[in-house]
Amino acid sequence: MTNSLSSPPVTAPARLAVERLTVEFGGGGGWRRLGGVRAPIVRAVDDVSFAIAPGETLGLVGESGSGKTTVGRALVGLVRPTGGSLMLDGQDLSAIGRAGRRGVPRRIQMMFQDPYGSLNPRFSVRETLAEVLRFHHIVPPDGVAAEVRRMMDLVGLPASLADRMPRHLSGGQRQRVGLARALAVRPSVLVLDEPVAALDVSIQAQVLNLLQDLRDTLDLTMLFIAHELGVVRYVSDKVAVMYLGAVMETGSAAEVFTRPAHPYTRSLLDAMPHLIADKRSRPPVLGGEGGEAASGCRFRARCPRAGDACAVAPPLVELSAGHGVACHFPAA
Amino acid sequence: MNGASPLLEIEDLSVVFHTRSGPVLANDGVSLTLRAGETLGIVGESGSGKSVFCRAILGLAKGEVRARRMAFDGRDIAAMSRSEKQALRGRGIAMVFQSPMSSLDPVWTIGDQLVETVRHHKGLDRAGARRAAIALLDRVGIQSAARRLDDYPHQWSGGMLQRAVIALALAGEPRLMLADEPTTALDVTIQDQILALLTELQRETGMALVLVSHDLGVIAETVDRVAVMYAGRIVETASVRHLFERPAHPYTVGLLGSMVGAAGQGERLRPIPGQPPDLHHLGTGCAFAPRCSRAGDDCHRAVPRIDPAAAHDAACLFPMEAER
Repeated sequence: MTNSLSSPPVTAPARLAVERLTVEFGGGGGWRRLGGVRAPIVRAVDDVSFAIAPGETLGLVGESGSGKTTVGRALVGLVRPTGGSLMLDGQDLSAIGRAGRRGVPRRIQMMFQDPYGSLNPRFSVRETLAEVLRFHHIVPPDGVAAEVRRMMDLVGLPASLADRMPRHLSGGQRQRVGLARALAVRPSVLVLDEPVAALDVSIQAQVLNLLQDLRDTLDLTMLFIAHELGVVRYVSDKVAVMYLGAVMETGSAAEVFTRPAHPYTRSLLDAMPHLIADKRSRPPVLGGEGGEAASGCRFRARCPRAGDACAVAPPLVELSAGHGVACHFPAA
Repeated sequence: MNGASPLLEIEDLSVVFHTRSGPVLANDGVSLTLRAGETLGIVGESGSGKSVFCRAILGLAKGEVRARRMAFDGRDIAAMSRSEKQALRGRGIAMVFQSPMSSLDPVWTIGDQLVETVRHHKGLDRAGARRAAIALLDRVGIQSAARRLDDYPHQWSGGMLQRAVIALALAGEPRLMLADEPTTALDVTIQDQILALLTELQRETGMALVLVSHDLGVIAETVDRVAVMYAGRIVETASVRHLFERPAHPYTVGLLGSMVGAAGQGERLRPIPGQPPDLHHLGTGCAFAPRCSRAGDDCHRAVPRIDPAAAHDAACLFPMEAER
């Protein structure tokens, strides 16, 4: 059984192609081996494939435990995949050795959700950016100061903030520093893990506008990981909906959000609160909770459409060009 | 007010935090009345003072609390004795926090905590309290409640724990439930379940509900009336319908306009310009004036206040739709 789309109709080579990515956690290794404990193996990401064309944004949507963050971390080398391959501009990242791998962080960069946790609390904005520039030899040593100013300007941080420590910045400003740091090494792919989830609504809009501008001016390819569907719909060209480690549905954002075929995608959209003043009288969209993946289709325990066929996991098949769904009973 | 005294009356509430870098006015002149059985949403961004407000009502705020009047069911809260205040918490007013673990102790079973609470409120014996605890868990949608009663909190998911906290809150049969961002930490399908539960419980018991949230969508489908807070002050109150259809305060308008749903695909979002206010350095006038496109000179001189009794009012000298 394979979850990959039969043949991607992409003629131009993808900037980033993920094929049959699998990540497992647990088992007996490291500290656990000392205690003789074997933790059960958890397959956090199971046979996930997608491709992103240059300049395109793929939104990776899912609830907690869906594996969306793990996919992002595997791309930047923060977790080691158990299987599958990652191709950047046609080059297989898993095949190149450690030495070759060193250039990779420069080409794929990640921006994290928590601006507090991802910045050194004792580094000013200037020091944070200068360190990255020096470490990767992005500019000659005498050009670092000017480059720091240029990066701050790029993400809309006033130069007057250069000597501020993270704790003296607002959430939005910290997120801009995180973005500047990621962009300082001039990556071609940006992985954004819940970049606006911790921000207030009015600040969210500022950061989302900035991301759109940067994507256009720097020709960035983005993997945008988020749980909030409205935000994902707004920024993404394509989306992949994940549930308990696997892709349930994928396609253009317009298609998936207006004609969701997978019952899980539909439930997510229906459960999302709408900005319409209307006190609810409906029952919840879905009962139960995610958590343990059963055999067969992972969603079947909660699925309103599940039947006997769902005891066998459905492969991801194309309903129409580019719109794939892993369901035995997709909505027409 | 038409006859019956309101369930909750707050007049001119202020909460000051004395910090090393000077005093911070976390709530400034907040006035609010709530009738029995009413559902009210409090919306605001971080630092707007919405959580502090809830805590101040319960006497849990850390800062210095002052109010011209704070009354529950016609009785002055400030004049209550220690034991009366304790009875008020739980039996009069119950609170549900964003993080279930701020209400639950990790080293006690869910059952221990629920049974203890039921005994405290109802004076039942152990066996009776245990039966009542199981009934409560059942009521909030915990499957096989009797079997799960002796689980520890770490054995439950976030959604189940929030249900347990709601069960704890219901134990005293409160007349007012304060829910502070009760679904913010939850996944969207679980949020949907918890909001359905809260709405159902509110309808069934007739308790009043104050729902604090940063999420206007959550507010829109859960409550009847809304108070919008900014920099420790209420800047607009309205029915949910009016707030969404004809928001009057420029901040409310900006907040609604900056949401992703307000812009079409490919359109630029319209954020509120500038930064949230620094509560250490609030000027003399309207706290929103520095970010407001409608602000005039007068806006920087005095703080406009709302009329808490009005059906729809904005604390603004130049509200939108002034012709209303």
